[in-house]
Amino acid sequence: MRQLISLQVNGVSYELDVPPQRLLLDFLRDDLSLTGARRGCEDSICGACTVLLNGQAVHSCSILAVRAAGQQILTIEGLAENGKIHPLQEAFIQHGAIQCGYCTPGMILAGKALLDENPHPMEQEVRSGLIGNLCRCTGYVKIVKAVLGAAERL
Amino acid sequence: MDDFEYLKPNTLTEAASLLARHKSKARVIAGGQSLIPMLRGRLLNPAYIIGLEAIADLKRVQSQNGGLRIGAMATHREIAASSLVKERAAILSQAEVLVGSPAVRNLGTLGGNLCHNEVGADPPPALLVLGATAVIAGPQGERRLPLESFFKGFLETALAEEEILAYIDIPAQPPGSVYAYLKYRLRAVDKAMVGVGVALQMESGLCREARVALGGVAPVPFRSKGAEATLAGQRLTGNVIEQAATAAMTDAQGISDAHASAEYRRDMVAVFTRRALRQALEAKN
Repeated sequence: MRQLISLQVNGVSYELDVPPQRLLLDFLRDDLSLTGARRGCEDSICGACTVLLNGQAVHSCSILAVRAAGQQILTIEGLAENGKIHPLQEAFIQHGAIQCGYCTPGMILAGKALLDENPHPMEQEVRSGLIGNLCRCTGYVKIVKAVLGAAERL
Repeated sequence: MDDFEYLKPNTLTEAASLLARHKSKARVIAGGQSLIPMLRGRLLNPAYIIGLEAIADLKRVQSQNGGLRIGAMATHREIAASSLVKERAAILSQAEVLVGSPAVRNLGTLGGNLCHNEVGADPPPALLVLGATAVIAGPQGERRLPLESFFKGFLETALAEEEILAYIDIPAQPPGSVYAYLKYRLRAVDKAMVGVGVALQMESGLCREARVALGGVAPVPFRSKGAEATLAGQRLTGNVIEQAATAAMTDAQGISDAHASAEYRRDMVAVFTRRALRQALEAKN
């Protein structure tokens, strides 16, 4: 049993046959080879698989690909424009908000969803916005500073 | 995850007839934030998944008789952001914003949360003190059930195999009502180890009626009749609040698990009931 779905990922339209049990995470990684969304806990807790669905952060491990039909998905691969990385990405580099990098795509996308909605957040609001993203290297201080730094530049 | 067929009805009637046809071979999916992890863990292996996302009416938050009707498919995010909910059922806004993380609230729905009936869910204590009613669709049409009778046991509800939770109705609240929902958790995205909802109807410094509901401390969320009786008709002095906190603790049998012992949970029920009562009273002044 397969189902035809069409959706937009990073501004590109796709039409693909998928089995209904395919998770959006597997669809992105295995069908589209977009491996920026990471497989972490697979239990809707760690946020490593975060992507934006119509601009809102979601855990791609906890939504079926068929459910994303007709919607717009943004992954970390789609964040740069004209070969220039996004100010959030620049801020993460500048503040050293990366250690192993596994949580980084999810952190940046959760940060983008937050800043799109609230362009000038307080530190506490940044912390609340990133509550669903775990960093195993315990680098939260620099990550929060990076999001606040990006907010000043955006 | 095992194979299943994904069905996407366009109306509630169509959804109900699909469920009546496939019965226990089918599961209804709302936001999927609880169901998908369960499918992935093979705790459930349905042959059919019925997705309700195309039924526009189930996503609406609307005014009804001075109160509210909330569609089961409204997301936690939508309810937390609704100015209508803030105005008419402020305690529900307070609870919704504490559910999981932003990503969970963006997809997760109120209906899914209630039907999953997991211990420590945030919306139930808020809805219990608001006197909410579940509107349930089945093959014979709709039936109404007070939410207090909806929660049956660990992960169990009063929904029959062929029934779908369609709406939550919240009645107009009496004037002078003040509220607080407090959640005690150890980690940011945890469910409530203890969740306390209070609604107090205040009139000339007296508490006419009190509702106190607890989550996280029993297999199902429930109202503490002991705490409510202690508060009703009283001037809410420090002493009365203390007695109510003790009564809530007595009503909470408590459950022991990896997060906390029953004894610790009971102690925290007293602490958070006291704080919730104080916060509700401060909200008034």
